[in-house]
Amino acid sequence: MLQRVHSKLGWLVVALLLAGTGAPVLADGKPAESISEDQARAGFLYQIAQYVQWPGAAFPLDGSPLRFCIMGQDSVAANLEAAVRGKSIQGHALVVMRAREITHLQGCQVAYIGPVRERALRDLFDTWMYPPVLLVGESSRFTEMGGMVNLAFTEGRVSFEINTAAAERAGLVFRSQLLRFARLVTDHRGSR
Amino acid sequence: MGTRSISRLVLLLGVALLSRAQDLTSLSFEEFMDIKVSSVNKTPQKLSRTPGAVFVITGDDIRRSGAGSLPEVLRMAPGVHVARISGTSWAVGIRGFNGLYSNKLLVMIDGRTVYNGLFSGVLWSENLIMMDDIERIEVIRGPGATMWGANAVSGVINVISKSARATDGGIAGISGGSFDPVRARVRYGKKINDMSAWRAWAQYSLTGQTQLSPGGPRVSPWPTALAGARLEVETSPNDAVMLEGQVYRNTSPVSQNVTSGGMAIIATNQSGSTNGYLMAQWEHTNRRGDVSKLQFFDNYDALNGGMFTAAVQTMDVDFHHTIHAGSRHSLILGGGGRANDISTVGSAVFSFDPAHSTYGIFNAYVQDDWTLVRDRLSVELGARVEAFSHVGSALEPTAKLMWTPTAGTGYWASFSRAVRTPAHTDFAVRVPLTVPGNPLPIELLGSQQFRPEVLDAAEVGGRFEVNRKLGFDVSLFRHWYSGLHSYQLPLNTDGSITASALSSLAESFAIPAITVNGMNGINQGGEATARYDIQPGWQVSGSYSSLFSMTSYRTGSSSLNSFFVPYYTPKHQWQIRTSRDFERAWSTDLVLRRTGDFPGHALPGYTQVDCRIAKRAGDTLEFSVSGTNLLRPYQQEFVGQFLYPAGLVRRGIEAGLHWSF
Repeated sequence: MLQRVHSKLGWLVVALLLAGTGAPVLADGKPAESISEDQARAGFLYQIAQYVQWPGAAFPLDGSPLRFCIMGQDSVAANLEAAVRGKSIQGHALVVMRAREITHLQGCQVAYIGPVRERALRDLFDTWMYPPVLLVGESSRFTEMGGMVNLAFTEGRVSFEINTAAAERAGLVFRSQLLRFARLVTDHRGSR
Repeated sequence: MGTRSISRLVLLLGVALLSRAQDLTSLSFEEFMDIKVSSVNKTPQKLSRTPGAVFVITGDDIRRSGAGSLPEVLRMAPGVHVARISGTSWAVGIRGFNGLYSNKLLVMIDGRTVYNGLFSGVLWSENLIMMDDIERIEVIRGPGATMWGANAVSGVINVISKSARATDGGIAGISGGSFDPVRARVRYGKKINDMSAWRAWAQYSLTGQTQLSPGGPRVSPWPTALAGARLEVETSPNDAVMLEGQVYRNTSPVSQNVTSGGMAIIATNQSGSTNGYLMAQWEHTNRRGDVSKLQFFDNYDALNGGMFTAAVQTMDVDFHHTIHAGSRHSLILGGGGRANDISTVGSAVFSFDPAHSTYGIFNAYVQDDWTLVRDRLSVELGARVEAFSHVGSALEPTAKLMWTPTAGTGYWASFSRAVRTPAHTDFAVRVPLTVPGNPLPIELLGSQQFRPEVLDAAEVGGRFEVNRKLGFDVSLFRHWYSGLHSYQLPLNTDGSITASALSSLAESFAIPAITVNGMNGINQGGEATARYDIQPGWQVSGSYSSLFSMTSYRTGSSSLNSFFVPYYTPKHQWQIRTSRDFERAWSTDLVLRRTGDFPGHALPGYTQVDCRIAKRAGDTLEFSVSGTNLLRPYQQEFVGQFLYPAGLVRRGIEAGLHWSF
């Protein structure tokens, strides 16, 4: 008897849990074709690299490859490797490298720094001399502190900020088509 | 044995899969910006390409559960039956054969196998870890022996800790309540520089004890303490090294005389156990993204079981290497070895012969993840050869097929074989007993003739992401077991005792019941889970699991087994969980769970409710109040086990405080 009471109580709780949650479940039930965040990060890095002009000094030789250096997330690098296999940008073969420390970012053309603490960013920008490297980050104050492109995911889509002042310091130029999609911000470091 | 985790599999698959979703490089920037991105924290999505029944418990789930031990959080996973037998002993089984001596399960913490070589089971109360530092727990239902090795028979539990880089800073927590009186812990971690980081931790807890009857005497709580540290160093851009160690001690001189089932036994808590481990891992990534990993660990466990003491030393080395061979193949090659050195000191009622033994296991394995049709179809083919020092070798092959007709839908099927490693108890146990209703004394005897138990499994499953908010996961399985552990009595066909046994009775005063591979069985059933994100900060999930088990004995083998090695798993289990965040940093979690009748009505089914309410103050403090087993003052969760009477778990009301600094 006691058992039955508890069992009924159980169903009551189920009913309460489900109450008010039922109706909208299938309302927008179209199967969504979507990609993972790491796939999106990889795709973004490839896409944005096509809209950046590097100074001649960025490539030691005409045939030098364009290096993507990924710091932090291995699966971003893995996804990017798969995506760029056999591709080229502005005549440069594409190479994906995994960077473990900041000094390794110097020789890259595109550097991606995954979400990190502000302290780590401060360490980076305190010593960064702005070689011709496109710095792409994903931390709330990345562009404000001196980064060039800050990636975010809002409402299931990619969005990004661009800090053109930081890009200028490195001698990089963004093609204007890109700027249409970005939120433009600036930092307070001034030109060097 | 293995150090792989599903995430690595997913990562490997991910490489081949990017092109599957969409070729992002062929889009215009405008088109690219329009693509929908699914949230990274939705593990089911990440796992949607894994051909197997996998459930992931995230660090956030663990934090929100308020649980202080691994078995408590494992209740979340479908297909897993968790029951607290007493304050410090648990029955945790996946897809059947659950009991205190569950031995068909592989549990790994950061790649370190934690089942005890004495009986192939896990002493959950001795494998305490810092729950706050767990990143996630992957619960894999069904065999995983090709990848993970010996004992990955009916399931694998993979506990993965946060890296030391992710635990920069300190935490201190204390909680206590009406059942488990105290759990206090502290952890501090620091990044030394860009390449290295460490953390250290310590925990003290008093674990509540069950009672045998509602008004019965309470045994005093069980004190345990542990402390450990981890260091991670990236010795080069391509090499990462990790060192970790922990020591654990419990002290409880408590013992009590109990009469259970007409059999007078001495129920002692495992008193005064000490254990510790040291482990080292080295991971190298080459320029092509191929990863090599070498791991070593040494685990020492000194048990004082009251009726016997045992010292178990396990040394294990494992190596594996992944290769991306073209765009269609991803190969994993590996091998390793383990030595188990077991020394025991027995008593008149429980001993081992031989008292001291050393066992070895060596293995080599290969697995290929092979993309047959891009975007749509892939297979995993693999095999492991495992050689045991006392019983020869076994082959553990697997074949899995994954079909993904659309990005949000996947179907899989698999066939696998796995074996359960014989343990010291199978070979060497000696327990003289009087069985109720049987006039003659019996002696349970281990046997050197015992061979690995074998499972052949067939599974199918599907995953359905209806939209970004709603997802389902369904799996069905049939497990054929052969050569399961049982005891053979020396009986003639008419049921009388053989002449030779009668003559040995004069010598040893007992009829031998010898350990044999005399039982076969079929377990079949299924699991279904659903997850719905009502709105950001509010999720509901539910699961249903079923299990139907049939066992049969070979001629002459006896059902004595069901008396000494009683396994129970309810035929039906279901649960519903909801977690919700409110304004002003309040959050609530509510769980309703039902455990059905045990087969043969050995224990009636029960429904229980757990809940937790927490409030954050600023970024650093959290207060919580939680309740477990709220529907009744006492709950019996399992049937009494050999040498272990089942206790009543009291309703728990607990308060906690968590501070990060």
